[in-house]
Amino acid sequence: MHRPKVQTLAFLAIAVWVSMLLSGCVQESTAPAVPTGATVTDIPADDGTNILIAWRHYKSSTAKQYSVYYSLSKDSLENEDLMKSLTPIVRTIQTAASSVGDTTANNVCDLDYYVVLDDPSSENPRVTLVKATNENRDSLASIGEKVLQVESELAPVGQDELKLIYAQGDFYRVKPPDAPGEANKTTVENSTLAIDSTGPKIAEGTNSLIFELGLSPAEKAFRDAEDRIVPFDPEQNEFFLKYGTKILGIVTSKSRYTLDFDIVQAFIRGNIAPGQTYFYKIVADNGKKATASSEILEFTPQNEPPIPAMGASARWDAERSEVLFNWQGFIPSLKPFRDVREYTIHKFTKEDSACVAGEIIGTYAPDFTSAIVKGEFSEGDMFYIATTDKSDQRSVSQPFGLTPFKLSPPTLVEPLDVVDFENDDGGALSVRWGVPQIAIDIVAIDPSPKFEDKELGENYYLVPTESGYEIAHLEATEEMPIDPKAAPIVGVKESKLAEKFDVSVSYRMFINDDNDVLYAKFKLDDGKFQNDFANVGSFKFEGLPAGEHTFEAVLLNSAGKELKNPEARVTRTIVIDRPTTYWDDRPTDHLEFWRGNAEIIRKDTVWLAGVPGFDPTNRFTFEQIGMSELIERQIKDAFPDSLRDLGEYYYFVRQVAEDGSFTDSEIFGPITPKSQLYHTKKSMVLVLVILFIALVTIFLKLARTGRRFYLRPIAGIAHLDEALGRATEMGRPILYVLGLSGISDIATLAGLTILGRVAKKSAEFQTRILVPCVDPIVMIVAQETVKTACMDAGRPDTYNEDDVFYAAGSQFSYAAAVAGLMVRHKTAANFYMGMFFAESLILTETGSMTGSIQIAGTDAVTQIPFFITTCDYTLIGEELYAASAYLSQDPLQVGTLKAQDMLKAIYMVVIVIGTVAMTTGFMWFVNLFKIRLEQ
Amino acid sequence: MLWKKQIPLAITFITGLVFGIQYFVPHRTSENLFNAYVDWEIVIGIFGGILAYISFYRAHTMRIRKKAPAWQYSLVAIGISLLMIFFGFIQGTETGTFFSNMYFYVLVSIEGTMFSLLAFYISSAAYRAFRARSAQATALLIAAIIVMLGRIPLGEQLSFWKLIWSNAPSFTDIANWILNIPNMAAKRAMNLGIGLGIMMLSLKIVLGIERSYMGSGD
Repeated sequence: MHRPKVQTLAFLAIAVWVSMLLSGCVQESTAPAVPTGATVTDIPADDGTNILIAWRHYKSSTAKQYSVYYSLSKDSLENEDLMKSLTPIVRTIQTAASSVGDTTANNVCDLDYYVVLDDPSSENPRVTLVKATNENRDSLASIGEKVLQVESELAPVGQDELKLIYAQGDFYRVKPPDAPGEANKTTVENSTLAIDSTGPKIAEGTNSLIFELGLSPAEKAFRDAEDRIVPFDPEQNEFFLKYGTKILGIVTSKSRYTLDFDIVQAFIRGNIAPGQTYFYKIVADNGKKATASSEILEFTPQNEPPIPAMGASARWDAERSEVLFNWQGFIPSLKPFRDVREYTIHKFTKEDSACVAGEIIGTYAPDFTSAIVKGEFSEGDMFYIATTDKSDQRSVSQPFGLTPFKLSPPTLVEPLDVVDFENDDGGALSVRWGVPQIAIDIVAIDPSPKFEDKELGENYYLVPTESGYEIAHLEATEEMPIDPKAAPIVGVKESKLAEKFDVSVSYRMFINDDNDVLYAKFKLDDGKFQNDFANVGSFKFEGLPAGEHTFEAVLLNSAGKELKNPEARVTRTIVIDRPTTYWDDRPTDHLEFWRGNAEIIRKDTVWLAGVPGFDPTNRFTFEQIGMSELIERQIKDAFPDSLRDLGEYYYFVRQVAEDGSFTDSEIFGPITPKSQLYHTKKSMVLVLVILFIALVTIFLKLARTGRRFYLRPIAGIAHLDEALGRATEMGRPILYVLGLSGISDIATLAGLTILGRVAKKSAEFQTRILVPCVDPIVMIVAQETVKTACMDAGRPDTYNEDDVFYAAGSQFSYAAAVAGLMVRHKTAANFYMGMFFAESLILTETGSMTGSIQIAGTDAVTQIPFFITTCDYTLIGEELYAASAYLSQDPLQVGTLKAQDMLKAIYMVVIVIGTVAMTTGFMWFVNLFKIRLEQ
Repeated sequence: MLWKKQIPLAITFITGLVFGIQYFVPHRTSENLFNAYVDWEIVIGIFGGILAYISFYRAHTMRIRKKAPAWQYSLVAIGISLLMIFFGFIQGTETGTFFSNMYFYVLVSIEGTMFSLLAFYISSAAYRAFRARSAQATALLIAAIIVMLGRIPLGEQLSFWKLIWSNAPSFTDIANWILNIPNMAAKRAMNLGIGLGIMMLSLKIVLGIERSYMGSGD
C-alpha cells in the first residue's frame, strides 16, 4: 500500500482533483434584483421618530442582505463615498436554494399562452397571461411572447442565456387529475340516521355518522375543466390549493420571468426627527460585492396627536357609588411606538363642546385601560377621555354616558405576596398567590370503533345549513341547478356504541415555589390510589367498561401527606358511553401585575400632572408588567441587565373579573432583589461533598499512620508492564490515545495521570511513546507530562516533542490519522485512556488487526462494550480514575480509593432504604434526594 | 521546583477551592467569576490552537523531510490546510465559497465515509462478542438477538405466540424490558461509580495528592 508509485499516483490524483475543484468552486457572482415597490409608512400616533420601510425581495434574487440608508441630504445617497459615512439599517435574508423542476411536465407550449407586460420598461412589470385563439394570435405574437414552460419551483438563476425579469403576477396551473380522487369524509357527532316517510334525516342520537361525499358541482366544474393557466381567485382559494400548482416562474424563448417575492420590512426607530424631510435608499447586496440600489425615496415623518381613546365606556353601580371606566388608548400591535403621557377622564358639558375644559375625574399613566372612580354621579352625566402625548398634543374620545350596571368586584385571591426569587443572582422578583390546586382532564376513545353501512339511494346530497347539515334529495333541472355547496353522498356509515373504552386521565397541578408539593396520586372508582412518583401527570386505563366512572386526584406534599385545602383534591364522576373529552373548568378571573420603580418610570419620562416621576403611594404611576390566569400560581419578574440595580421596587396586583370589574391589592414594597449567597436546593450535594471530604481525611490519616489497605487487583492495570515490556522487546513504539474531550473533561485528566506513569516506564525501558492529540490544550499538557516523566526517569534524552503532536481537530479525521499511525508504525501496545465516542471501534479494530496489545479505559458507558470486545484489557468506568493510585501504590492515593469505596457502601445503603421508602410511600426520605436546579 | 511544582499546585488548589464553592453560590459576583473563567478558557484555547497548528506543521514537515513512509499524504495535508486558510481569509467562509464547498463536499463526505466503516467494524466486533463459549456469552448472545429483533419491525411480526396469547410480550416488549430494566440498572450502577471516581480524582488533584499529570507522581 505504501509503495512510492502508488503514493505518487494518489497524490497526483488528489492534486488534479483539488485544482479542478478550485476552478469550479468559485461561483460566478450574479447581481441581486433591484429592490422595487418600496414604500415608506409613518407609524401612526407616534412621536414622529419612527417609520416603516417595505420593499419586494424576489426569492430567486441573489440578495443576501438589504441595507436601508437614510439622510437629510439627497446628495449623500447619490454619492457612494458620502454614503459610506452613513450607518444603514441592515436586514439579512435567508437565501432560498433555486432548483430546476421537471421541465417535461412544465412544458405548456400546447396550451398556447402568451405573456403580455403592462409596462415593459418597469423593473417589475405586471404579467398577464392570455390564451391564444385564432382571432387574437397574431396580435398577441406582436405584443407578447409565447410561454414555453412554467416553473413551480424557485427559478434557477444564471444557468442559461435567458434574460431574467423580476415580474409580478399570481397564476396557477390547473390540470384535471387522472385519478378519480378520494371521497371527502365528514363526521356528524351525536347523531343517528332516521328514515321516515319523507326520507332519510339526521336525527339527534348517541352515535356518529360518517358521510363519504363526492365532489360538489362547483368543485367538480373546477376540477374537470381543461388544462389551463388561470389567475388566482381568492374566492376559490380551497380549489386552487387542492387542484392547482402555483406558478413561480414563466419561461419564453427570450426571457425567464420570476414571480415569487416576499415583502421585506425594516423599522427606523428613534434616529429621525419629526417634521424633517429624509431621503431613503435601499441597497441589495449578494455578499460578493455585487449590489443593486432602489430609487431614492423622500418622506417626512410627523409627530401626530395620539389616537383618541377607543371603546370608552362608564359602567355605573349606583348602589356602590362607583363608576368603572374602560377604554383602549392605543393599538396593541403599535405598543412599542406608543406616545402617550397620560389619560385624563373629564366630565362633559354641552357648553364645552370642544372638550377642553371639563372637570377632571382622574389622571392615569399610559398602561391604564380601566379605572374605578368613587363618587356621586347622576343618570345624565357625560364624560370624555383626553389622551395627551409627550409633546402636549391632545386628542379626545367621543363623549359617553353612564350605563347602569351591577358591579361585582372579585374577592382578591389569598394568600398573595411578592418575594425575592430564591437561589438566583438578584435578577428577579416573584409574585405568588393562591393555594395548591389540582385539575383533571379526561379523554375516552373507542379503541376499535365499529360502523354499520347505511343505504340511501341515488341523488342524495349533504347540504350545510346554519345549524349543521341536512340530507336532501335533489335532481338537477335546467331551471333549478343544484346548489354548488351541496355535495353528493357516496356512502354513509353509522357508528355502533362501544362497550369498552381506552381512557387517558391527566392532571394539572397549579402550584408555586412556596408550595412544597411534588406529586399527585390518582384513583379510579373504588380502586386503590396510584402514586405518580415520576411526575408524569397521566394515567391510562385500557378497556374500561362503558358507564359511570369516578376519577379522583389528590395533591401530596414532599412527605407523601395529602394537602388539606379543598382545592388540592378533585373528584369527577362522568358517564362514558361514547368517545368523550372532559376538561376541568378554569376560573374566569385574571390577574394583572403592576410594577413601580422610580428609575424605570423616570427613564420612560412618564409623569402625571402635578406628580413628577414615580410615587409609591399612587397606583396611577405604576406600569403594567404582565398578566396571568388566576389558576396559575406564580409569575417571575426577571429583570434584564438594563433594569438591574435600580433600587426599590413596588408592586400591586389587580384581579379582574369577567365583567371588567376589578379589585386591587395593597401595594407591596419596597422590595429589592438580592443576590443569594447559598443555593438552598443544592444542600444534599453539599452534604455528600462534606461527607466525602471527611472520609478522605480519615483514610488519609490512617494511610499516614502506616495502615496498609487491600486493593482488588484489576487485570488491565496489572498487565500494563507486560504491554510495555512487549513493546520494548519488539522494538516498536507505544501508542497512547487521550480521547476526544478537552482538558476540562475529568476523564482526560485521568488519562493524563496514567500517561505520566506509562511515559516514565517507557522512558526507563527506552521505548518510544506516540501521543496523537485532538485538543490543543491537551496536547500542551501531554507534552509537559511526557517531558517531566522522562526527566523523572533519568532519561531526558528519550523525550521527543514531535512524538506528542496534534493529529486532527475533528472526530473522524482524528480516527483516520491514528489508524494510519498504527498501520505505519506497527505499534506494539496501544493505550486508550479518556473520553471516546463513535471513533472508539475504528481505533481499536485497527489496533486489533495490526496485532497490538490493547488496554482501554473510559467512563463513556456506550463505548465500553466496544472496548471489551476488541481490547485485551479494559478499565471500566471508575477503574479509569483508580488506575493512577494502583500504579503508584502511594498510601495517600490508596487511602482516597478506600474513602471512595466507603462512600459507595453508603450509597448502597441509601439505595436500599430509598427502594423500601418508595415502595412503602415514605416519601420524605425519597424527596430529600430530589434536587431541583431548574431555577 | 517552585515554578514547576509549588506554584501550579497552589493555582490548582486555589482555583479548585474557589470554583468548588462557586457551584453552591448563585450570587452575581460568583456568576461573573464563572463567566470570566469560561471566557478565559476560550482565549487560552485559541492560543493553544496556534501551538497545535505549529505542532501539526512540524510533524508533517519532518515526515516529508525524512521521506517517511507515505510522506506524500503529509504534503497533501499541509497543502490543503494552507489552501483552506488562504481561501478562508480571501473569500470568507460563507455558503458557496471555496472554503465552505471544501468543507461540505469534501471533508463532510470523507468523514461520513469513515463513519460508515463502523458498520463493518461493528459486525466483526459483534461476531467476536457473540460466540457462545460460556454461559455468560450465551446469555449475551440471546439478549442481543432479542434486542436486535425488538428494534426492527420484523420483530413484532415474528412474535408468533401473540396469536395464541395476545397479552404475552412481543420481541419489542422484551427488548424494551432488557434495555430499561437490567441494562439501565447496570448503567446506573456504573454511572454512580463513575461519579464517585470523578469526585475522588477531582479532590485528589485539588489537594495535590494526584500530581502525575504534571509529570511526577512522587
